[in-house]
Amino acid sequence: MDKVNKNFTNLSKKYGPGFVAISESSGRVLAHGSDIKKMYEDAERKSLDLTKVVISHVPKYGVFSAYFRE
Amino acid sequence: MCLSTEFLALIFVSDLIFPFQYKYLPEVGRVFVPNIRIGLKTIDGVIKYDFLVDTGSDLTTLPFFMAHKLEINLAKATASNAQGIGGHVVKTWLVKLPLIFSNETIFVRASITNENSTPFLLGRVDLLDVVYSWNFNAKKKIIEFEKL
Repeated sequence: MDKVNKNFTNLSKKYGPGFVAISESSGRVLAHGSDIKKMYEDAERKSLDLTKVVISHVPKYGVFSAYFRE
Repeated sequence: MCLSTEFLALIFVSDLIFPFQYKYLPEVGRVFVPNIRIGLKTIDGVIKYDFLVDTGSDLTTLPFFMAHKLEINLAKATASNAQGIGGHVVKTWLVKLPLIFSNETIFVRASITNENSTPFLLGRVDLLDVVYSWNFNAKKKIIEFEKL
């Protein structure tokens, strides 16, 4: 089992809402942004190897989420 | 509805058992977040993304910037709209994505929105009713994709 965070609470408080790139090996957040493009820009500035991270959406802390499409 | 099949991307699912994830809401407490990890074949290689298993979504949905990463030409895609709770309507483009589950390729219709903040959503179309049962196993705290 990888070490990627299974609880978004701290991520939401520190980085959210937005997207984060998390190291699969360490579980550390290596890049973040308020949207996916900004997260990628942050990752490119840091020359991250994206094949070794997991990209995850981070919800806004303390706010209910509801999604549907029609 | 007629969907373009010209724009393809590859999605790889690395496992069909996914552990529960959670978030905390001050007024509610711990809330289960049904995320699963899926790889997408991008211009940077195969990258893993957390997709929200969204039984309320018709289509698998990705944010706008992913069109660039997946080398999808939206100018040639069929335009549509998606509506969320509250009536918020966003422009979308309909694409067809081949999904690979345990070395099996499954084509699903998907949408790309015109916003970069849209979460990665795994919708029902071409998956839930025809390929897999989605089981939320509360005893084991896992999401199981059971092949039909």
